[in-house]
Amino acid sequence: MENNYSLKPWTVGVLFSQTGVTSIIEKTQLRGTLLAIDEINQAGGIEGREISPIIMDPGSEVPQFRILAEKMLSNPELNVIFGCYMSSSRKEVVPIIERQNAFLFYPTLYEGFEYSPNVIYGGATPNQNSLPLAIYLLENFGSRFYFLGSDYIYPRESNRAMRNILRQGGGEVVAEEYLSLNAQCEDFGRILEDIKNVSPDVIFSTLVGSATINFYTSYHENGGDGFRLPIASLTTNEAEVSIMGRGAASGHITAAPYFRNIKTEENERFLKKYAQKYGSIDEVTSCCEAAYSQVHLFANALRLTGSTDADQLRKALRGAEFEAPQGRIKIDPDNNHTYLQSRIARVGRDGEYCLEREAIRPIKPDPYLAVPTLNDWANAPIRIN
Amino acid sequence: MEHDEIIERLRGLNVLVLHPRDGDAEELLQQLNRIGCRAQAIWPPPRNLIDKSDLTFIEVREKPHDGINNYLMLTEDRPTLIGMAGYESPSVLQNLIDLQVDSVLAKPVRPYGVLSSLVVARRNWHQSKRHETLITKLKNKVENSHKMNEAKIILMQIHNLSEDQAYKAIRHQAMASRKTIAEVVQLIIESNALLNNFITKNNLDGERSED
Repeated sequence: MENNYSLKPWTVGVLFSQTGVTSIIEKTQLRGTLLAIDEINQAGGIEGREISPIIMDPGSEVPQFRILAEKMLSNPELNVIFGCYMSSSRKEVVPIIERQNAFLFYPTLYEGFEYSPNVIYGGATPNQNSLPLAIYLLENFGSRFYFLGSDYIYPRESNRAMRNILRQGGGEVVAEEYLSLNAQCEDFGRILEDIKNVSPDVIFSTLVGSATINFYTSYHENGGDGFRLPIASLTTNEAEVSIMGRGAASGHITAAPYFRNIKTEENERFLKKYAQKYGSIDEVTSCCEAAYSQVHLFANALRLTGSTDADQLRKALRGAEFEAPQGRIKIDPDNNHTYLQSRIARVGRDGEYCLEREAIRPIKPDPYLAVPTLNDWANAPIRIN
Repeated sequence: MEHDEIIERLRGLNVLVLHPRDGDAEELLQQLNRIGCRAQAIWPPPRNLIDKSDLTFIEVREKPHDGINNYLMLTEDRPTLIGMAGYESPSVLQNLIDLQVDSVLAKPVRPYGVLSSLVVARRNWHQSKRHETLITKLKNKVENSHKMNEAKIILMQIHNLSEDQAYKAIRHQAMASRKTIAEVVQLIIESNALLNNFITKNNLDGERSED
């Protein structure tokens, strides 16, 4: 299938929602992906061939992911897809990817317990984010946790992991509530009332998409104060903060491998290019950064293989490293997940995330960790700001 | 919940894979390592028992494999068994039944499904262990209560006691002689049998001599 003479582009699929409930975050992943593709093409492509993205919008509708992935892969030139945010959408796409021995780059944190030889997982697993977040919260805010999430697999599994960790650290889950993915502001009335009554030390939110903004906003409008009773999350990000505004966001906490304002040379370069392409850096998030880095990891592998054949790509990608904006990352050859940085930051009054602590080295992904123990993280050296 | 610890304890499991070293065995070992089990593959099946293997994957084909059967005979405490089958033909299915596997992993092995088959196998194994223990316990109980009745009847007949008195007598005897009630009951039944035997034999001899 290689044809160096025609200089045909390398065609790749890009499958992120530009509409619907999770489009805010997925659009940031789309932009990160396209920025990396631009960079690679401007530097002369790979073996002189440009990467040409075929972009489709599944509209945050789970079945659409499968339909569009099938459509993409019906193109014989296309064997690699960048995409998916929600686990439910990834579960739709993976069987199709495996059937055709294609390749999926999945740049999103998720609950773990999956391994496909045809997927590279670029986001954090619970041992890289839930565990450090739980420890930080227990140390700084208290032991009574209020769980609030969107009703699908990620929040439920994420809460299960969190509950296990808290139990070991002497914490307690005082409530566990789930709302539909498209929960509106008025749907949170009952929850806010309940939070007032229960009076927890921390709210642990696994809401995703627009429900996140609706909740933070309602919380703020009803007198909630992040500096008194913070909402902690693994997903809330810069793009959502910029929409909800600094008032609603300040004081709240997120654990992620990357925050926009970390100081690395790569990040500076990344943000500069991002601003050149998109005009502002308001929507740069950890998922955007993961998407960006995954394209570069792919491109580096493609330089070695000269082919998008999945078996060759897999060999080239396992153990591959990349100097990402978050710091150095590496694909774990054991499980196709990624060694990532681990950071916790809190939104200041200025609406910017301010780093509270970080691991000094990337943390090995452990996607099959059923019962995380406090020691797993306690052994990782951290830097406290 | 009864089987709460199965998932938590998966990581501590010692897993043995008795399957020819091929792509399937390799895929399985890698996935077991990802899950975090301590796994080792041995082929042909060892002649001596591998210590501390909690769970064993075995290849199941259309005809029983002597090496695997011999290995399984060595195990006193039946390990959790998962059959690895590439066919679903009746003779393979029959072997799955005969080997009493706790669950099945279909071949070709894919990473998906290994975890579920581990969990289901452990659950079935725990359940059958628990049932075995329970059955043994109930059997003993039934047997003991039979014996107790027998002993009581003996005492009631010989000493003309009520059932309650007979029971009290047995208990008293047990305490006085520092034996368990079961032991005393056993002794009563045995002595009675001996006596009966004795008398019956004498009678029979006497009757025969008269004939």
